[in-house]
Amino acid sequence: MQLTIDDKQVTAEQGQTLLEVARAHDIPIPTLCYHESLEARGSCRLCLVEIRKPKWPGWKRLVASCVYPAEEGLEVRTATEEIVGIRKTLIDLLLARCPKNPEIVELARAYGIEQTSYAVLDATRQCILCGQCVRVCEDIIGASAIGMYGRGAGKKVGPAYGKAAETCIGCGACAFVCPTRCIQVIDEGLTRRIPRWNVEFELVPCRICGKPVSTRKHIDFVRGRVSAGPEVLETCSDCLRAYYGAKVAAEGHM
Amino acid sequence: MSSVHVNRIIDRHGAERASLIPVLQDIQDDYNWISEPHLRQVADRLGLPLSEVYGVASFYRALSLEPRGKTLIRVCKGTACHVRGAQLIQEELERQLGIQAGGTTEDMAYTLEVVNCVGACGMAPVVIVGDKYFPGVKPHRAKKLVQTERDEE
Ligand code: SF4
Ligand code: SF4
Ligand code: FES
Ligand code: FES
Repeated sequence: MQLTIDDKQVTAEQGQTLLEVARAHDIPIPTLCYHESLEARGSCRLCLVEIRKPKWPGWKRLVASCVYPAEEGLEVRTATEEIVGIRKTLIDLLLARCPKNPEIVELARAYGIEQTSYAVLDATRQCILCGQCVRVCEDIIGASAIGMYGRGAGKKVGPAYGKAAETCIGCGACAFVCPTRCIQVIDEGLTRRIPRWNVEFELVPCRICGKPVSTRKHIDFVRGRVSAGPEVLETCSDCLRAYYGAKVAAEGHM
Repeated sequence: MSSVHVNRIIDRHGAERASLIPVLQDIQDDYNWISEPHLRQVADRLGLPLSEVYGVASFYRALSLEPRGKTLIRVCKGTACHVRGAQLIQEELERQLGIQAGGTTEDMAYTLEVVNCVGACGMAPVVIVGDKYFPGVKPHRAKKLVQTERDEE
């Protein structure tokens, strides 16, 4: 199907969201709560765009592009004055929540905001409660080690009772998707710590080079789900690549 | 050690995901709060992650994850009650009970809570003791609310 984004003619496939179409055509739209590996939830509203339909003159709507499906003939605008104004307000509010988070500070600067115009309640906060860590842990990893707790202004993300995340396997996926990079995964020697979830793990060294592969708990978790032995699971990706590369070179197949 | 009573509550509603909220409500009603062992038991029996059950239990105001007193006293501080002096009533009750809003007396008899509008603004200011609504409460009567309750014991 055909539609326009910022007056540029673009092609989209059925089922694609406006954000996906824009990204496929290198049209930038800012996002915070979107990650391509997770189902979009449309919670941060930063990705908002304006849509118009030629058959309905004068009609327009502001929608979250990460959840809005592409439609034939849609006219999309990603950065009108109105949109930029709303984005600035959103970013200003996020900055009031996390005034010292480098990612948020950088985003604010890009929109010309040096300081928030709202009251800062706690300058140490780093989390914007987007819930991506919770979703990746539940939907992709299947560990459900962390959750969203409480409600309203007191809402938090973390393990139940603020204790250690018992079912956490230390995979680090939550840290990987966190848009404010506020989940630290600290590897020291053969120990991995994720202080935010109060957990500590033993790391397994690669059978070939000795570089840590992942946590013992992660490897055991994966072993229960796939038919691969320790020679694969306990070898780091670099050594695996080298091994299979050599095998293919010598035998012509894996 | 799993609680026989909690198991009975779960059996009554069926050990499935859809029973989560009714089960938590019944535990809340019978114990006045939901303890960690009880919450874990619910998660185990319904086959749900603890993180999810804790998330639900911590979301609803009607569910408490901390021990609550036998009688819950709620002072409405919604707009209507606020402008008609709910602050003074709150302070008087705090003095009477020797606790702050959100707290529970040492003998576990009372928990004092502040709520925002209970939908009875015409009767402002409102105090709810247990399940009894008291309309048009005056601070000096706030004192009596606690005393009558105590006398009835
Ligand atoms: S590191 Fe733990 S909390 Fe984070 S995604 Fe993996 S299992 Fe979940
Ligand atoms: S920790 Fe990161 S991913 Fe999780 S809710 Fe907070 S900002 Fe989002
Ligand atoms: S990216 Fe957050 S609402 Fe779309
Ligand atoms: S404000 Fe108290 S009942 Fe509405």
